[in-house]
Amino acid sequence: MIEGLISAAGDLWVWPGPLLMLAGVVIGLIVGVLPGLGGSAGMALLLPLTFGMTPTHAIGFLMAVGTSSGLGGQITSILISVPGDPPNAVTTIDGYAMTKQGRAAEALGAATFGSVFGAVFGIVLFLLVLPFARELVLAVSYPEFFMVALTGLLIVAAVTGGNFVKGLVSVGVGLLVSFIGLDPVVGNPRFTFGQLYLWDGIDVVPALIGLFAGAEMLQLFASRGSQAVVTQSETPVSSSIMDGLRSTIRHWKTVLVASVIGFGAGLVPGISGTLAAFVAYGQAKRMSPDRAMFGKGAVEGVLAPETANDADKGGAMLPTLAFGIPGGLLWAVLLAGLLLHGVPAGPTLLRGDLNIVYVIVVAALVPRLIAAAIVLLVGARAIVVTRLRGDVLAAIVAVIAIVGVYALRLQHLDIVVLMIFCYLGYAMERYGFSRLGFVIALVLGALIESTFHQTLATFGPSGFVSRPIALVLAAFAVIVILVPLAAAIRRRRATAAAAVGSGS
Amino acid sequence: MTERSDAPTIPTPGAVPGRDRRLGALILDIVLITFTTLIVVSAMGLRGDAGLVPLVIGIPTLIGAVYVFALDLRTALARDGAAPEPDAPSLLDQISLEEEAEFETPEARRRQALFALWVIGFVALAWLTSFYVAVPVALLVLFVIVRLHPVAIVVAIAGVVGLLYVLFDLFLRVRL
Repeated sequence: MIEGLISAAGDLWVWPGPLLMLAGVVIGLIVGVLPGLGGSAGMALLLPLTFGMTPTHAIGFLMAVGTSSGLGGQITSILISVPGDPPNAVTTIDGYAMTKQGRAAEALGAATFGSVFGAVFGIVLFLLVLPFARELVLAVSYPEFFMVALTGLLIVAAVTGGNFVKGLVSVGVGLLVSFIGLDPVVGNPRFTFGQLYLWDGIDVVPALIGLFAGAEMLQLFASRGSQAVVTQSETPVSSSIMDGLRSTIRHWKTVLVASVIGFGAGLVPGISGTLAAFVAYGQAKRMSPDRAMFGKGAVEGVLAPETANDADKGGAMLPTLAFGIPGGLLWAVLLAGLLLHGVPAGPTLLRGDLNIVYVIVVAALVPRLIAAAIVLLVGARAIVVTRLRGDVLAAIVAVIAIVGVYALRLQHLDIVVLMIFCYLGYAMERYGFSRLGFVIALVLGALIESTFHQTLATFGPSGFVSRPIALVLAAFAVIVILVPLAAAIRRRRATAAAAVGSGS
Repeated sequence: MTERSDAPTIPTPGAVPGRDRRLGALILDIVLITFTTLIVVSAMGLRGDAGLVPLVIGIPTLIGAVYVFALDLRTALARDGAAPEPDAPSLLDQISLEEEAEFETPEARRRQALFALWVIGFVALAWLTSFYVAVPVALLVLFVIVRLHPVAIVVAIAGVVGLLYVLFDLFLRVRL
C-alpha cells in the first residue's frame, strides 16, 4: 500500500501535475469563497478543460478544485456569515460570533487545523478499512439510509435554536419544499402549481444563499459600520491563528469524535457533509463543559463541523471506489471525469489497477494541505473585510452571490428563488426558526422519500426496525425526540415550583 | 473605514417583544401554515404513493406550525407588564442584544428597505440587460447613495467586475 501511495504521488508530481494541482487549489478556494458555486459545481464546469490532460493529471486537478473549496467556504462563513457551500453553513453559528468578538483569526486557525486533521483522519481510516470495504458498505441499505437521515434531522431540530417545536417545524417545512418537483415513485410532477420551472424542484444553492446571505446582508447594510463589535485584539494575526491550533489540540476529543462522525456519514451515499457537520456540532455541544457558549462563539462549534466536513470525504471514497456509487456530488463529478478519460469507475476499479485508487487518495489529501497552507498564510489576512463598511461589503457580497447563483444553471428564476429565501431567512432568523434545519431538510428530503419507498418495496414495513443498524438508529431517533420533551417538562415543573416557593 | 459609534439602547432580555416584532412573528407563522396547508391539501389529491411521504411529514408540521402560531398569538396578546423579571445580560448576550436594538431603529429599517429595493432593481436590470451592465451600474448607484469616496467607488467596481470576468468568463467559461 505504501509503495502504491508513493508511486501515485510520483505520477502526480510529473510536470505539469504540480502546477495543475496548484491552479486547482486556487480556483477551488475562490469558488469556495464565492457564495453560490460549490466545489462540485466548479469541478463540473471545469471538466471540459481536462480533455487534454492525462487521467492522473485530470484527477489531481479536479480533486484539487473539489476538495479545497470547503476551506474557501469556511472563510466567508466565519468572516461574514455567508456559507460558500452547504456544509459550511454550520460553521456560521459560532464562527461569525467569534468574528463579532474580534476572534476571527482564531476561528479561521481552528477551522483550518480541524479540517486538516479531519481530512488526514478520513483518508487514513479509508485506507485501513479498504480491505473490508465490500462487507462494510453492504451492511448499509435503504432502511439505514432512511434512519440515518431521519435521526440526523431530529438531532438538527433538537440542537438548533432554543425551541424544539420551532426546530421541528423548520425541518418539516424544509422537507415539504424538497418534495416540490417530480415524485420519486412514478415521476409525475407535484406541488408545481403549473410552473415548468418547479418540475426540477427547488435547487438547494439559491435557497441556501438566500436563507443565510439575505438576512446577514440586510443586517450588514443596516449596520453601516464594521462587523467586529469588539475590535480585533492587539495580538498579531499569526498568534491568533496559533491559538486556533492550540484549541484544536486542547479539544482533541471533540476533533476525534467529529472525525469519526464525518467518516461514518461519508459512508452513506447521499448523506451530505452538511448533516455530518451538524451532527458533529451537536455532539461537541453535548461533550463541552461550557455548553452555554455554543452559538455565542465557542471554538468547538467551529472545530467540530469543519473537521467532520473534511473527514466525510474519506468515508465517501468507500462507496464511490468500491461500488461506483458516488458518496456525494463531488464524487459523482469525479466518476464522470474518470469515465471521460476511459477509466472504468465502479466495482472493477478495486479489482483492476489500484494505481488510480491511490492517485485519487493522494489527490484527495495533498491539495487540501496546500489549500490549508494558503488559507493560513493569505486567507487569514482576509479578516480585514471585517473592518470594511457594512453597507459596502453587503452590496459587493450580494452582487457576487446573485451572479454565482445565476451562473450555476443560467436560470433567472433561480435569482427569484434566492430573493424569496432571503426574506424567508431574514424572518426565520428574527423569529427563532432554524434556518439550518430548513436547509439540511431541503438537502435530505429526496433521500428520505426515495429510501422510504425503497424500504417498503424491498423489506416491507418491518424493514425499518428488523435490521440491527436500522433498529439502533430508530431507537436513537426516539431518544432524540424524548430528551428535549423531558427537559421541557422538567423546566416547567421547576418554574412552577419556584413560583409556588416565591408566592408562599 | 468607519467603526460603529453610537451605542443603542439595550432591550431587556425576557421582556415582551415590540408590537412590530410580534406582528412579524404572526405573519411568518401564517405564511408557514398557508404553505404547509397547500402542500397537505395538494398531497391528498395525488394518486398512489406520491402523496404518502408529504402527508406523513406535512400533517405533523401543520400541527406544529399551528401550535407555534397559538403561542405567538398568546405572547402578542400579553401585556408588557406581565413580562418576567429579567436577569442581567452577560457580555456575550449584550453584543447580540445591542445588535438587535440597532436593527429595530427607524433608520435601520429605512436602510434595510433601501437595500431590498436596490437588490430588486439590480436583478431587474440584469434581467433586461446583462450582468456586465447591471453590476457596475447597480454598485455605482448604491455607493453614491451611501456616499463612498469616488476613488473607492472606482476601485470597488473595477475589482468586482474584474473578478467576475476572470472567474466566470476566462476560467469557467460561463457567459453572464
